[in-house]
Amino acid sequence: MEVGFTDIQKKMQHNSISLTFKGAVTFELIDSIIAIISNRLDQIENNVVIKKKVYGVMLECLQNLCFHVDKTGDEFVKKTYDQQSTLFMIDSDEKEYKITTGNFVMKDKMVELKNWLDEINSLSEPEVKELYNKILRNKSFTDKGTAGLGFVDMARKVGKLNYKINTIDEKYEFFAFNLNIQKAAA
Amino acid sequence: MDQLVIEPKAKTPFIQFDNKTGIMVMKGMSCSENSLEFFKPLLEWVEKYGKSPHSTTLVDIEFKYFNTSSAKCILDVLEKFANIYNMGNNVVFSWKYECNDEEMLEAGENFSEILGIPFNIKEVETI
Repeated sequence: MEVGFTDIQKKMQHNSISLTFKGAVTFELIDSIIAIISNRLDQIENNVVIKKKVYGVMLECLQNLCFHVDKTGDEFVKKTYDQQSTLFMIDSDEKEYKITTGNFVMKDKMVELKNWLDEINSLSEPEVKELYNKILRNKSFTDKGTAGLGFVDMARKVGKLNYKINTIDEKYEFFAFNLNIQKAAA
Repeated sequence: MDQLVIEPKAKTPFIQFDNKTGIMVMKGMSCSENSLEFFKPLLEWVEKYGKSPHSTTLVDIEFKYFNTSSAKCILDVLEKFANIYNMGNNVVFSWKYECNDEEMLEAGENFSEILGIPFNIKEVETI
């Protein structure tokens, strides 16, 4: 593989952040990732609002991965040489922070997830806030103990939720999710 | 009834609910993946406290950050205090947010609106 030296050098020229993780996510691992990124954010981001947005979105994304990743069967593992694999990436340039995740989801669950994301994306800013408050008032939690607010909160903080779904086989699909958080104008 | 004190950790806030003084403090970070478990004893404590509350209850809320599952739990705890207020008791809600933290300011305004109870909202240098 050819190494993009220009890209690497470019990354060193501004206050960027860059971390990629692939593997099974555990809550202990989330703590380590959060600690590393928070430390870096403290060094490079002076704007409290932006810093907390990046922190919040990153945390919700990682906790989502931990709670909702589908365990794949042995056959799938043989085919993909991987197990419960997830991808988490955070990157930044002069203009924005980019948070990306990727994971396998069972097809039947994907329909529900896609509908939910499309519904959130179709709402205006005040409607997203209204939906957030409606779910907040709702007393119920999911069977995993989550509030069901994660994606709505991300949309509230950042805006449009970008995602892409690729079919892997008859049982699984790959779900790629991305959010961009604009830096404050210099 | 004893006071409820929980020391802060990286992902859970400092809690001091004191029935002798009526001062209730929730402060710091709340981003545990298991918020329900953390907040359950708080809900139980406030439920008991409501049966014989102090003449004045001060609910002092100072969060640096909370995740979505904590948001729901925090609202549940505040709702318990709101019930005490709605029964005619003197309960003051003080919501503090860190300098320039618009999101926490908005969260305080939002909670106050949902509960239909005025909060004293104040910006502080640091939490």
